[in-house]
Amino acid sequence: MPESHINLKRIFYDFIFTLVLTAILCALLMKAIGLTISDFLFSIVIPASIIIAIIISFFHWLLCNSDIYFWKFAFLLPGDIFYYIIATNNGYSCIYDEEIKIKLPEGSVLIRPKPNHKNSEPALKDVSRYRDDFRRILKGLKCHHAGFLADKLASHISDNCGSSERSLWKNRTGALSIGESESYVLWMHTKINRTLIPIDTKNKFLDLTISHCDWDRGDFCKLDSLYLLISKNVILLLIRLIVLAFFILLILMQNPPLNIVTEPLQVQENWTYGEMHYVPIAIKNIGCDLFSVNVLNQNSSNDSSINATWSNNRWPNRWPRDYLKSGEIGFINLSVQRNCSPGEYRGNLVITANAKRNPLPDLIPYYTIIPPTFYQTYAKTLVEVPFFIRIAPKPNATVHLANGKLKHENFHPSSSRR
Amino acid sequence: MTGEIPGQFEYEHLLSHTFPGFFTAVTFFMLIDVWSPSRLTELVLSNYNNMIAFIGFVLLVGTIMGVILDNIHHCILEGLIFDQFDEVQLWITKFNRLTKIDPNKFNHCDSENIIYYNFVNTIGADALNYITHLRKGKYCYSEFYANTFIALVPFSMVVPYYLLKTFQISWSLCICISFFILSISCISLVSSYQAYMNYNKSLYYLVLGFINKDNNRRISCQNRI
Repeated sequence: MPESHINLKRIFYDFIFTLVLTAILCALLMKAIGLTISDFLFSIVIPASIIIAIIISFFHWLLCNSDIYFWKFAFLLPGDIFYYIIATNNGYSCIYDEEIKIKLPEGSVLIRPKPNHKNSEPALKDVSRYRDDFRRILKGLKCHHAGFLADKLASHISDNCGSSERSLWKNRTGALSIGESESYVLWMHTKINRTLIPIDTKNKFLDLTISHCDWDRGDFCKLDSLYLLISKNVILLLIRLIVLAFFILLILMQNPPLNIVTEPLQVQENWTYGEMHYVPIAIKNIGCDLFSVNVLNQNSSNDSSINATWSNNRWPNRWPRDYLKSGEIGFINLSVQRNCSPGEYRGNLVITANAKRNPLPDLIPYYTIIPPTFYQTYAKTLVEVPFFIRIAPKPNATVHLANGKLKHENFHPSSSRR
Repeated sequence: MTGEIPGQFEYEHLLSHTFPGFFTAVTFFMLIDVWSPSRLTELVLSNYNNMIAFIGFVLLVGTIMGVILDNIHHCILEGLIFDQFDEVQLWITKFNRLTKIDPNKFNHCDSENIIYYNFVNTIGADALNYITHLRKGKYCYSEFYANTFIALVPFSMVVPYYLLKTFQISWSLCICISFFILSISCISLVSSYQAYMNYNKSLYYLVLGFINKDNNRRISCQNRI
């Protein structure tokens, strides 16, 4: 399998993976800022997801042109396996120019050599002296580490990996001290499940151990491949989620939520028949600018004599009545007419409004070229204020009850309490 | 029969499991408050009974959530993320090689358990002290950072809405606080990885020390013969 084919496949899967991620995040963001997903599916969600996925995939591809970043952050396919080889000198002298034979399985290809990390490699090249300290002292051997580079091994194998040649040899150029161990990482794409690579050397004192990480290729079913695709790229997923979370916060910053607070939270009043009563309810807008503010009066008896009127406390001819700016206070007057029949009235005042949204982050000065586009949210229910009003009959008067009957009431102090 | 206070509450265990769980329970409460039309925070602060109920909620839900968070951390952060890094994987390979455990038969966790039991069998109950010291000194901090990361991410998403509704702080400031918390969670993630790496190194050297000791004992016996 040529390397270029794997790269194209890798880029394609990376794009699809990113597209699904961005589409989910776009949908969640739309929901968070109050836009209907179905209304803006073709105008915002899909185009924005594709554009963001292309940008992310492109920058990721640019990043992975460097060997170091490709090795660290390349998009992994289900068949990609990392092999870890540890070579230890168990002999009584230093090992020079040793050959290591690695037999690659059929249909496998080494992807790219691991670049040399000057900072991280020495930590892995610890001297395992637990067996050979006494031998070293006896023989008086002092070997100096000559720099056995892991990437040389991999690059050599990669360069010589032909379709017919499956057995690969590596001529060592450095020296391995007594008891010293070194590690190599091979990154391979294979078609065979849980492939174990035969590895051998002519030197019986060079101990070679090979293992691979746990998340190699599982069963050949599509669901398993999907799981492997996700689980192998969790690091990328996490990094991208964190970066996108910061962008989402930037978008949220310029789109505050639709949020109001009411005072009081609920209304409970005892009034007397025959008089006009009203109670003001203050509404403070602590979110974004609200448009089309509407108050719905949902009372149990659908009585028209109980009214709720909305006032935004602004000059009536200058501003639209259904507009409430962020940070301002509006009022609802809950009033009862004189002819409202005695009885108990329960209900809710439902306050709905919508807002205008700009789902593009305000970072790039694109406003100089394209004017900002604002999208209107759906009419969101902001708050419900429950009310309970008891209209007591006027003392010593014949009144029409809520059920239409006549009743003569005597005055009692308890009936007019508030 | 005198009653004794059970000594099961260890600071490291509380730090790694329970405190992030409490944090998640508070996040849950904040989320419910944001979604609820009532003002739950005012309700909690209104009298002592409500405050006690809130503390009970945090203790109960927090303890449960702490254990669940820990499992998420082991499965996803440790199992799928940290173990994918070369540095960690090479130390695990070295550990397996040292202990002569076939990595294709046992995973890293199983290998650790096997070697612990071997230690207990070889050097007695003292082995548990060494292992406990390593877990408390290194591994619990890795768990704490990882669980804190998992707890802070949803917290950073909920906190701006909660602050806006309850304390009526300006929205820009709420988002800045959210940015800050998200940044702290990223630092926690990196710290967790470093602590996990440290733990694997320390585990390797601990086992190496035991094997060295065992070999020296054998060598000295051979010299006497």
